[in-house]
Amino acid sequence: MMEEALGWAGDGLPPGALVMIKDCVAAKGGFFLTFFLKRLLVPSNVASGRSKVVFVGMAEPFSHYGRIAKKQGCNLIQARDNGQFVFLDMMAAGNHLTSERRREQAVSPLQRLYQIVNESVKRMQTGNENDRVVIMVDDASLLEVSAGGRSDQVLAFLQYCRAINSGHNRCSVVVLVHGDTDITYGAAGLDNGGYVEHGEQRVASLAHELDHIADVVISVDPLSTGLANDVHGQVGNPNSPVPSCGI
Amino acid sequence: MAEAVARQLRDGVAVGEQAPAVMVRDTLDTRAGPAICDHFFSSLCSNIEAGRAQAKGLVAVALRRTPESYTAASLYGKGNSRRGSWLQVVDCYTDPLGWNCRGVDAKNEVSSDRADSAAQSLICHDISDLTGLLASVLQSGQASVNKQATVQFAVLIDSVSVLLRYHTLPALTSFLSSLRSCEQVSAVMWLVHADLHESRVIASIEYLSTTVIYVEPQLRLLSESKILNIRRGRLRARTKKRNGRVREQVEEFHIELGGVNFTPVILAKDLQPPNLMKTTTPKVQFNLDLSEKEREDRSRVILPFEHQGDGREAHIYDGRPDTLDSDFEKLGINRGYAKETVIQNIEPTQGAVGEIHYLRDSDDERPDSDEDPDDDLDI
Repeated sequence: MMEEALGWAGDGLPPGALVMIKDCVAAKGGFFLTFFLKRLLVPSNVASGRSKVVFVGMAEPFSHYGRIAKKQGCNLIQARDNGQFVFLDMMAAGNHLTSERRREQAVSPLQRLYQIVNESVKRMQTGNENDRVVIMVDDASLLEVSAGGRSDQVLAFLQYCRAINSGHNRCSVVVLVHGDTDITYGAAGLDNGGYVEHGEQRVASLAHELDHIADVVISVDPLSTGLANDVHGQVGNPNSPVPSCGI
Repeated sequence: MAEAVARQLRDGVAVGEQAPAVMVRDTLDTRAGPAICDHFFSSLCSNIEAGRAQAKGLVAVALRRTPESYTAASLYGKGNSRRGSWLQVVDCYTDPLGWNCRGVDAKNEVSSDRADSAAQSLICHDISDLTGLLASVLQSGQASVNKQATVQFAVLIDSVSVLLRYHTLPALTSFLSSLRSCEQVSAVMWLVHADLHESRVIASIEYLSTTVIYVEPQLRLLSESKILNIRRGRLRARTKKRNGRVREQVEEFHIELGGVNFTPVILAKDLQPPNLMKTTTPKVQFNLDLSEKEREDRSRVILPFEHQGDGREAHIYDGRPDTLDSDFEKLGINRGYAKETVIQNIEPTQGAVGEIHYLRDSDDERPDSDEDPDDDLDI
């Protein structure tokens, strides 16, 4: 049902598409990333093509995703060994981002991260022009922290990722963003309509900006009726004619 | 209304004036702004290909979508498999900040990528340089009209919101004004997401526009109707005419696979008959209106302390004989009507239950007058 809601044709995400998963503290959307990993790395039928994934992990280590994906029938270690899956661990000490940053101080952190992602995509190319590469980011809120709070750098990074060419196709991007970690939902709990005070100029929040440019927005919310044993939340896609489904 | 906007883009600029500017503004309530922009873009492309438009070329500044999306056959003209060089794209999508240019001073470099002859685009490597961007737009425009200096071209900016990430409002408005002032520019169109910016920013950009198209939801935004609002909505177009008048039109739109369909809207004021009597009485549980008999009785009530409009002096009974009558009697003047009034006032009517006897404190006391009682003071 989720595939139908997303308009998934079975051959992977559309080239150049941006899929945004927006969650909150009450209903976390991290499980959607492993859902996408399984759908992309383990196709449901032989006729459908396989996609390759570059995963930018800033929130959890590789073992976390490997453990959950294994329960769902997807072996990330095997996919990594086959060259189908690349995991960029931004949490480990001495990772690509921090070690390279010492040498090239002139570039911004997200520019350096883009160069690493671009190199990873180029290394994965096998010469098959129909290969599709999906770049997954967990999560955009931590990207914003790395950029020093500059949401324009995060948006530029995601746009650059979408513009990377892999064969005939541009890369698709799946990004998780927390809809309730902006200053508007801070300690005071005030809602300024999606605006963040940034000096004298008010700017829209990262989730708000992404909402406009994303091709697909998946919103993960808690149930309006409260907690339940069997159903933990609901998922909505405002772009789809299929109504929300419970999980 | 949509046809009027398409005509405005087609007819272009009048001699001695700035190019018309069409601004499409939307919010997250509808997300239909890009689709509406695409509709007018396709319409303008059709007119240019058919030779009906003043502009002979079109420059698309790609900030929000890929350059190749503008060259897709489904976006312009129906059945055309290949477009000519009249459509040029300034690619601000692939490398807007110069991150792909290593070891090269990308600040002022504008390179062209013509590997694919169908994708005639000029790549912009520094979106923060508006002067360079303006030069790229004009350069692409001249290429679209085969460098003929007297032929005009139109410009489409697919997202001013992206430009506002990197530029201040004064810089952006200066850029848009310069574009409109260029002699070769026939018409300009841009898209803005109104909920991403402050209202003063949107208002400033609206002032630069000759036509503002508000893309609004058809229904009030409810959680259940969010899905419906993606495909349907309402367009409100405010156009400033040359004679200074502002015209506003409303239409409903429906986004389908083949394009956007527009249907006129019958406003509520047009349904209401002009001679409909509106009552101003508030709606309460008791009756505040007067019947005809009550109106007549009210008109016959003699109000105290006021003249009745019959030319006679109002006489107020103050509890003692009328001194004025006695003065008139001395002069031999009969003021019978006053006395009758007094008598009429003090005579008990048949069936009356009581009387009022008013005794003044002092008969010597003069009746109240308008004179200042302190006038006789000699200090």
